[in-house]
Amino acid sequence: MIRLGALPLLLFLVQRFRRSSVDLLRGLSDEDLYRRFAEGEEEAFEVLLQRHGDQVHGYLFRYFGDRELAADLSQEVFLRVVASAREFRGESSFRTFLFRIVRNLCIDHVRSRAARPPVDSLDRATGEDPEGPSMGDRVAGPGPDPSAGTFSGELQAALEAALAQLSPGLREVFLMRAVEGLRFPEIAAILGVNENTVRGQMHTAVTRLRRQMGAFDGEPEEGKESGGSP
Amino acid sequence: MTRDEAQDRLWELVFGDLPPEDAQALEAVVQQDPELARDLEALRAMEQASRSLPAPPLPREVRRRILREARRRVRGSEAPSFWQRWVGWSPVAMAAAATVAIAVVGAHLWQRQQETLSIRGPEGLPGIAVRQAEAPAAREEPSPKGEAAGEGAEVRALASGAAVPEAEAGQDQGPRTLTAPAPTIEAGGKAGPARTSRPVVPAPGRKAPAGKRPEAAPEQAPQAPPWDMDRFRPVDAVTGGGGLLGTAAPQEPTRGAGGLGRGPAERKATRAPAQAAPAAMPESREREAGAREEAPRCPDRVRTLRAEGRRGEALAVARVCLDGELAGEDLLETLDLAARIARELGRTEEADEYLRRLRALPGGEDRARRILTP
Repeated sequence: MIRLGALPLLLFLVQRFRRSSVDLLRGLSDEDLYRRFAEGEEEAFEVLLQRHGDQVHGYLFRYFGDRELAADLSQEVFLRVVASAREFRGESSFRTFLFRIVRNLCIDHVRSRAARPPVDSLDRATGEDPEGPSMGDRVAGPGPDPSAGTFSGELQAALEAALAQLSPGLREVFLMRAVEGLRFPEIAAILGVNENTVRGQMHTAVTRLRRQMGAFDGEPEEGKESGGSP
Repeated sequence: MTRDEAQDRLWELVFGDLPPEDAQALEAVVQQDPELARDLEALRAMEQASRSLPAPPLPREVRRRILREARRRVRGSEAPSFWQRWVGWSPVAMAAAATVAIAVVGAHLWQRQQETLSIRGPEGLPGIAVRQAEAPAAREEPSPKGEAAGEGAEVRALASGAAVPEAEAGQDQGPRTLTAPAPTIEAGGKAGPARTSRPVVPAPGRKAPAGKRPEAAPEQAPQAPPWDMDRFRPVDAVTGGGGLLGTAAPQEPTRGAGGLGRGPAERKATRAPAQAAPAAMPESREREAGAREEAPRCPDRVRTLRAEGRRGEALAVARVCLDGELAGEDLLETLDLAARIARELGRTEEADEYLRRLRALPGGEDRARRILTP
């Protein structure tokens, strides 16, 4: 009976050991984790997914404005990451490698949709259902607490809508830099272009977004310009 | 820095992409121009809004699917079944499964212990005492003569009811060698009539080590191993009801009796245990060997599964076989089949690996070429 009683304790210790091995992996860099995964250590991939899963999904959601599509593409991204583990040479950072996959998938998907813009306006329904929630509805849903002030919520909604109006190329640059916090050299490596080109695209993206969003006083700049302001 | 230049670079200031000195210069310009200051504020608000754009986390189901796929790739096999996943991930389930397993093994051991006790009978305890008293001496002074006669056989001889006074045991063959008046145990686990009312059982925890297995002379035609579990048969064996202690010809030389009534031939056998070894092949091993011969060959199993359309299973079986000790034609055939199935399943990397291994074998090049030829 004593032996039987000791068994759960033993199993508990085994689980703890496994958990502690995952904890140890958390201290490793993305590149080391990915190499370990390529060598057969599946816990390493678990840690990578914890680190980047939400980020990739968030990027895809902001890029397409479609939750289900973002989930499907996220899965595809990580399946490609899994499949490419042995091809990773460490010439670029794992994040660059990851976002290159993300970007390629985005391009493939945009092409497959025949360059149809994902969101036309705040009132356009997103997702498959034409009667479904609009971008404005979705943004207002999980957004900040309305009691905390509606200005930031409106601002986010306006930014989402303005982002949807951007071309895919400008949108991806803006999202990578402003939302995901990637540096310009990284973005240039992901896109396979010159860093100055990326800076130029970012400048264009910011300018257009500002124009779309207005001066944050609820009145678009274009409106002011058309209203005859000097 | 002109005003237009400053306006063009405001976003860089906001996103932290300006060198510190440029940033200071730009901020100085902005402080002197209220319109630029307003633009800067607007850009900062946009930057903050972009950082706090809502985004749902990766759904758990998607995360689970991804991890499952990653595990499958790492292990190179099909996705684990439901119970494997459940047991593999739930500590409670693991504990439950392990507890059941321990309970089953424990019950089995307990049952065997009970059977042992039943053989011993109410008068068995003195027998144990004899064995226990004898055991340390045997360990301290291993007798070269008694070495080949294993403890298992000794135990059988004792269990057959031989009276084994310690003093007598030490007389002619040292402390390990026990003598008795013609106790007999037939190879089939039957004992002769020479029984006493004091059956003796092995001391607990003692078993015949591999190097000390009792050997028998070929002419004795042994059929049962000295470590045969038959010695634990129940009470009626003790009383002549059959089983281990049942019947045996009294004159028949004792097989592996460890000094109990050993004749010259047997003594010779004990001095040359290696020569006697082949004849002493245990029944269980023979059965295993027979079963191995009867089992379908790896390539046949793989081929059958493939023919049934169960290619995933066929590939899994092939993998297991290839991890084993396949050789010769079996290896060639299995590699051939594995490569074909992997190609059929679209697992080109795996197929290439099999082809590579196949090519490395004599006669494998032709097979590989045939596989690659549509």
